Amino acid sequence: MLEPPSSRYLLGTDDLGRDVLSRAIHGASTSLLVGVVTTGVSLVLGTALGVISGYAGRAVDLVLQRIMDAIQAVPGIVLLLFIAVVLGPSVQNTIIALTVVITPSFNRIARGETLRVRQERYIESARATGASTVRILLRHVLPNMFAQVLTLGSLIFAGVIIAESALSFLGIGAPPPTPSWGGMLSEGVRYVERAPWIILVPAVLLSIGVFSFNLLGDALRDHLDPRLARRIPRSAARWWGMRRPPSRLAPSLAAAAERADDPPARDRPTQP
Amino acid sequence: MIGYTLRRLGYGAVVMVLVTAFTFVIMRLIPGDAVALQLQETGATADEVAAMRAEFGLDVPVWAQLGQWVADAVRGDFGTSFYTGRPVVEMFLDRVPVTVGFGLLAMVVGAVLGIGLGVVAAVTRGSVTDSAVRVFAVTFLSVPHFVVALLLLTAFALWFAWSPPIVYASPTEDLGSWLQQVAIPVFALGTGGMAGMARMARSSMLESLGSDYIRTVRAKGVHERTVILKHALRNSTIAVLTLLGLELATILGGTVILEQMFAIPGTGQLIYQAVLDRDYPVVVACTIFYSALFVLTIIVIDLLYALVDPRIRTGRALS
Repeated sequence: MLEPPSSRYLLGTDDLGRDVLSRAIHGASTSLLVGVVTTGVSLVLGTALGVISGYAGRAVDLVLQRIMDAIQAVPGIVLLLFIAVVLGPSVQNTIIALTVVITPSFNRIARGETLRVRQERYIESARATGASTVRILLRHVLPNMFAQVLTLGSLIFAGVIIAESALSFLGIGAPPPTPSWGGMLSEGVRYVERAPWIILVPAVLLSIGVFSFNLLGDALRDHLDPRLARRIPRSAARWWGMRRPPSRLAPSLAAAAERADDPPARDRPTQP
Repeated sequence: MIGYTLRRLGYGAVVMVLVTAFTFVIMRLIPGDAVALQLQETGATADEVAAMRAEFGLDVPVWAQLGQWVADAVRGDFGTSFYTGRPVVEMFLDRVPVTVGFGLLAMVVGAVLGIGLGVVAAVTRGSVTDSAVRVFAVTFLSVPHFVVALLLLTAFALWFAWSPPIVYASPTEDLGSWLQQVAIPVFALGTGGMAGMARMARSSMLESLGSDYIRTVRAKGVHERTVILKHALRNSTIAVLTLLGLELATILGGTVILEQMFAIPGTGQLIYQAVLDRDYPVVVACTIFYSALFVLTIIVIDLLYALVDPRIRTGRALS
């Protein structure tokens, strides 16, 4: 127990004599599972809601957007705590809680894009030729936001990994026997002095994971469509802190924040 | 401007009504309430459970409970805790100064570090220093604040055999002990905010430095330090201050985890404990307080921003 790294246990063992390396590897699968499912579900759900809301307009838009505003008005962690404990600690419930929290982010982007595209000539033409609403949405509206939604998805993924670890760390994510990075961190706190490797391994892996998905998001943005590069704020990766204000509550601020994330062209990183 | 203000406040009110309704209804609809939880081990009879539910007002329909709650809330009564029996408002207000002190400190640390780094990066644009600042900022953006805190805790424990005090003392009681306790969480939260701030400061500094008035100031032969610190920096501050307001939400969220970790008895710890105990009145009230604080801050900053910069007020953002 609490054995230091050796040739037998490459990264040492924890207080119950479990191999830290293999727990870290299995923890990765927990984090990635939560990340993939949450991001996937809320991407589809948020985009669908945003497109419907933006295209239908009027009452539907009004009701849907007020609900999204309400969700965004509760600080992320408070909402997560609330939902996670209401439902009880399990991987499945962590996914549900996170989905609720991040769906509005996708909704916001999809709705904005839909509003923009809706006024384009080709949509009008499609409608004039008798295309059904479903067809217009699927063939003309959705493909337009593909790049943005995907980019946001990658940045959000990084946030989801952080959030999942934070919940496990607080003891309301995946329940104890399940290996998870957050859980390993909180178990390791007690043995900081005797066995620092228990904390170091998941901490480093978590940070690398988050960093990678942030980079992936940035790369996707530049790659998929350079023209759209300015539309997704880099700091969307920090949805967790909810820095983006609900837009209807604070349009000026939202606009200002948007501009802040959109540095002047000459400020693009200079290649050495 | 008055119309604008009223509209924003109207939206804020609508959002708060929704938040209240959701929080309340969801909290009451779940199986396993506080009464069941408390009486589980004592093996109480069905009659006793029913009596206790009646005492807490849990035996009427959710909608009736919500109506009663709102009616009381308007009169300043947000309910009493199931566990301590104290009014929730009182419990919350008791802890506010703790969180505010620690949160503000984190904000200041983040702003000072962020603006400083941003200015340095802008001035030395394209150099090694600039890249170093970027790497530094990105690092702290990628490492979640509770991990930063944990790593610091580990480092201090290992190398200096130091750990923060276990019992919290307010700054007025024992400043040294308080500083030791909040040092790590403040640094962890502050550096999280620092990254965004540095990026923002850098880009707005570059924008100012490239503008005509700076060229004029330079042409007058003003010392470079004065150009940067007085003329360019001052003009970039507005943008940075906006970010500072938005940072509040991050700080609010961060306090929940860090207060728990470092045994700081603030509002974050209150809501975490209440959530674990299923102390309905406390959870509902705290969630609503937190949201109200966020909504109000957002609206106030928005109004200030619109006041300062009329371009935004009349811009597309309002349509």
